[in-house]
Amino acid sequence: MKTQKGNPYFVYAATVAAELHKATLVAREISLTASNARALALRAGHGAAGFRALTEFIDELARKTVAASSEINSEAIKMSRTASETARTESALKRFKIACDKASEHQYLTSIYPALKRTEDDFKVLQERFHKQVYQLSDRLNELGRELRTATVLAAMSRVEASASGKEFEESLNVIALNVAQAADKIQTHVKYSQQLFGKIAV
Amino acid sequence: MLTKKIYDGINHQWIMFGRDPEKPKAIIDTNQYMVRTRNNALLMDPGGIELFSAMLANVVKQVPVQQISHVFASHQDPDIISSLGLWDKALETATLHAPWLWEGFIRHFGMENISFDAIPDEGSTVTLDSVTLQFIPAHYLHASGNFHVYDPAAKVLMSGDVGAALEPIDAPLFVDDFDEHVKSMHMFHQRWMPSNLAKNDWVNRVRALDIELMCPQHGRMFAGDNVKRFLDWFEALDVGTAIKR
Repeated sequence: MKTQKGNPYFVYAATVAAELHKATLVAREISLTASNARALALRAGHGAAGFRALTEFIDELARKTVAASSEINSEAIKMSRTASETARTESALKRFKIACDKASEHQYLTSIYPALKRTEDDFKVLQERFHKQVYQLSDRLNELGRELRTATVLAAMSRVEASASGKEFEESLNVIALNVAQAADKIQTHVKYSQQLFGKIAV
Repeated sequence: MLTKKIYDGINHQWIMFGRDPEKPKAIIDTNQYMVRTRNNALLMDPGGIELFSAMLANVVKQVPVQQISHVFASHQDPDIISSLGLWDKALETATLHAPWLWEGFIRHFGMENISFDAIPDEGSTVTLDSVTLQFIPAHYLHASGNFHVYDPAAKVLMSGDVGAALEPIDAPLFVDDFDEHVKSMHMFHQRWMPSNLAKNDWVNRVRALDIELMCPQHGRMFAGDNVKRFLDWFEALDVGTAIKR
């Protein structure tokens, strides 16, 4: 199994896992922003009624993003392990084949065949598992990407509601809106980079 | 890779593998040994990953791979046993005998099928059909947990890194001119062996054994009087010389 160019596939798999770990950390920032938004909307009182309604959505976005990115990260780690195991088995298979070539006239050559067959079978199973994990993870990333588009809408609506909340809280509420937008952007960047890396794994 | 039968007895044979001309140039040459009995075989210090294909090919010249029921690792170095993960795929039911001290380290090479027999510090034995081999302590020579294999019936001692010499791939299999050979062994033993106390303790114990053939993991084998010459030379050698005293 080869990548289109550059690093071996198990390096890309490990890089995807690392990228998605970073996304998980950023998702926690949205969670913190959601708590701040709730507290601030309460303090702002009647003037921030519109914003208060939005905090529910920010909260939900935070919950979904943290859960999804954690699950995706954990799947990415499993995929990375499968990739390393596949590479090891592929290397073993190569060495068994070289041994068979070298031993072509040796008395007990056929005694290698069961081990060769087992290794070939293991390699096939691992390859299939790896491909399946890559496709599943790719789907989950697309789903997360779609989910994060909500954050852009939420940030825009938050800015509108912030300006309607009165001067005292407008600036703080705008900061909340900005934090949501920035965190979503950061996660999107990690997701897009992971998707690009998947593109390099020739499956 | 060269294969040489070095002992041929009624119940068993010793076979040496080494001098692989196709090995990558940057890795040191190693000697691997196998004891074959009627139904079993013990593979000693089977070597590194890079040698695996050549070793497996040469092993099946002698025995079906399923006959290898035992593997021995004198210590944990990569040139000794980094091929373990590959042998583990080839041998479904073998046992690896190795110093207890290194179990957690050796398992890093990958071991799912082969089972581990931890050799205690004082040594132990293994019996293949009717042939009993002894695992002789050789701690600190050079690894802190280290064993050699002694076969009292064949009078063969597989001596790991003791007696080793780093030589070209076309070096003869046996030491002929001992004094000349010392030049190839001197630095290796002074630098790799850390302890005069451990060395002399080993020499005293090995002198008590009846040995006709001493087989190191690198370089040439010692036969007959050259075994005693080696023990005398090694006893007199000051080792652990990287530390200024």
